[in-house]
Amino acid sequence: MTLFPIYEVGSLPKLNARVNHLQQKPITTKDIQQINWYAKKAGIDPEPLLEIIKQKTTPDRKQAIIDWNALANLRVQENTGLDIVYDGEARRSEMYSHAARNITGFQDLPEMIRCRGPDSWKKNTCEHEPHIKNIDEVEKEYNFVKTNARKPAKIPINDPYMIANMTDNKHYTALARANYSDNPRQARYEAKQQLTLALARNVIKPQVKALQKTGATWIQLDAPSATIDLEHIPIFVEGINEVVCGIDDIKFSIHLCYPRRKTLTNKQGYELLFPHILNLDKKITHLSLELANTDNYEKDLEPFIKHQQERAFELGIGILDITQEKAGHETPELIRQRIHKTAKLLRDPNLAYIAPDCGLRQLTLEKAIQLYETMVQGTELARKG
Amino acid sequence: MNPNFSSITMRFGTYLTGPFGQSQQLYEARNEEKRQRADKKTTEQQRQKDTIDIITLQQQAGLDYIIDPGFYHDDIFETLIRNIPGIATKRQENWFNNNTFYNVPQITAPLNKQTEFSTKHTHLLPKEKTMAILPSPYTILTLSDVHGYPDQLSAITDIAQLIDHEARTLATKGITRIQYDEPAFVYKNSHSALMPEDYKLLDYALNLCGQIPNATTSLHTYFGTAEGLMDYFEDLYVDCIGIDLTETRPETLKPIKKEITIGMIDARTTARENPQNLAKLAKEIAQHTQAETIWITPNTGTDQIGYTATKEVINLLRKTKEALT
Repeated sequence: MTLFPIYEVGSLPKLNARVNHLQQKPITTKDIQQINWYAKKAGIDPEPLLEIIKQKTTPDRKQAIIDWNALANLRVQENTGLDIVYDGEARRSEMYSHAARNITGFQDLPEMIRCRGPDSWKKNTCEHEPHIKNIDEVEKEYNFVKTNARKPAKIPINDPYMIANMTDNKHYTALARANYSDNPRQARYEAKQQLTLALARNVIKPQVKALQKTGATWIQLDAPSATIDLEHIPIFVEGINEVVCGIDDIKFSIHLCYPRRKTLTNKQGYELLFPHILNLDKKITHLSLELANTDNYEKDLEPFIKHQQERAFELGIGILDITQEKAGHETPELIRQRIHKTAKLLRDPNLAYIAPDCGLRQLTLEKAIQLYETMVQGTELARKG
Repeated sequence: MNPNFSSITMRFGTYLTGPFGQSQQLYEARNEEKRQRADKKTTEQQRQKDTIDIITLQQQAGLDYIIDPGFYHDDIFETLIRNIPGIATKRQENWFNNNTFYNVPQITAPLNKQTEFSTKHTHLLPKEKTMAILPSPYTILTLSDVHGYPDQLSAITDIAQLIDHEARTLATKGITRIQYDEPAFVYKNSHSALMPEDYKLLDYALNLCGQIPNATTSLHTYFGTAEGLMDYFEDLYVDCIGIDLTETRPETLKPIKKEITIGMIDARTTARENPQNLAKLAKEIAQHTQAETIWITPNTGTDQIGYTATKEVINLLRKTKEALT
């Protein structure tokens, strides 16, 4: 593997034509222009897709658009110079709802829940023990990538703790209350732990096993909410360990992002994960970190370096801020500097992989590809010294 | 619990303590407006309709205080940031251990302390038995990025004076109870992170805004345990202390010469409690604490479980009160 291998964390924005199609809105000239532009970037023929779009009654239209989108995402990543690729999660709606709708025992709440400013999300209730509904979905997704990718692939899937955090834990809360009626905090811990472990055993692990059979070599577990509850971080570790135990010959990594920074305690950021993550199963060898958003690499990396003797993880270094307000402000030179700074801090450049802070789905497709190009240019500069 | 307390005359009441879950219609109106496919007027009409509906529901359920359901703001600090010169925002943070976020206030001295920030929507409330919810000065201070003050005491003085002015204005408009939301103090207590300075700051702030003419005041704590704090709470300059019983073990409560609000209903899950069990526990707490009034409430707002589930919470409050009387 080359020095400072580059990968994408997960999602890319969807093609506008696809979004409009799903919303039963007309596909505009601008959408067609975007397809042509993206086809050129990907080096693939836009005509088959444009033909399908013209034939408005074709029943396979949706699938064709999604397949084309997934293939184009792969090719754009390869052509731009990423070393490890995936399909930009082209077949998935949104991180949580994509997972939740494929779980028996989960049910939609009747209303969308307020989350961040004017944004809302579709929350699910856990009504009984969760199980995966349809294992074929992830197999088909990975098979498409395996068939078409010209570079090594890394598949991102949810970690169980993230799903547990975002779910109304009705079933296990009721059970835990019966066991800990005099200790509500213990009841909450127990309920979260039971849901996380059930999701690990019955939902995530079956997908990992299916991916192993399909030939996956690198699985990334997405854990954006690892630090959301300071008391429950050990549950996050337990959940991951439950997923990977007994699974061999696969590289496992964890994507961590936006750790709590205003905690009202004496620990902040990634420091909150320690010492708990030292107990992660040894099969977890790689952590992908959001770092560019705060641009305080020394402080954010300090706990990993402090514990390097006990556990030296490979680190995916977030060198692109992907927030809507700041995305695109980095230059190749700034990226070169960030990579060199990180490699020096880690004392071993072979531990450093290069990535955006997180998935890019909140941006426009044009902005996302511009970020890829800057990331690759900056990394190439860093490789030269 | 100590069963040897003699029987006392108990007074129980019920109310809601925070923002209500949004209806699907309001979500759709807001989403269409966000995507510029509909105008503000449609959202405003839905907001107003839902606000009136929820106020009516509270009245029908016999709640003792009626609150605005909070559809006009998305986090506790939003009205401050929107209206107060000297308070802005640049970033968001997790709202404690929830999958929701708040805009971190950037407070720059000096604050304009005479500006009203939360009074715009009180006209929809009934004429009596109404409660307004304001952030407690200590929570504002600790969850904000504060600039331009020589020390924390100077900053909390300004913040508490701002809140005092707002609470007094609300009281002149007919609000009869002011709830100061105070999650930060007990959250720190849960994580053994309270320092002597923290006790002084909260105490000092409440000396500036804790008593409001023509209104009772409640320091409503949530997202943390009150264990070990009862003696301190008793001396605070407010009429009522709110305690999160989804975080605090009931047997750690102590006798207190104040009203207490017990957040017995976990507003972050749809796993609903049994009204008979709630009533039984409320009676035990009343006996044990000898508090002059016990208010039974959810621990916090119900915005994390949605509109339908919140209506169930109101129904549970009604049933619990019936079981007590």
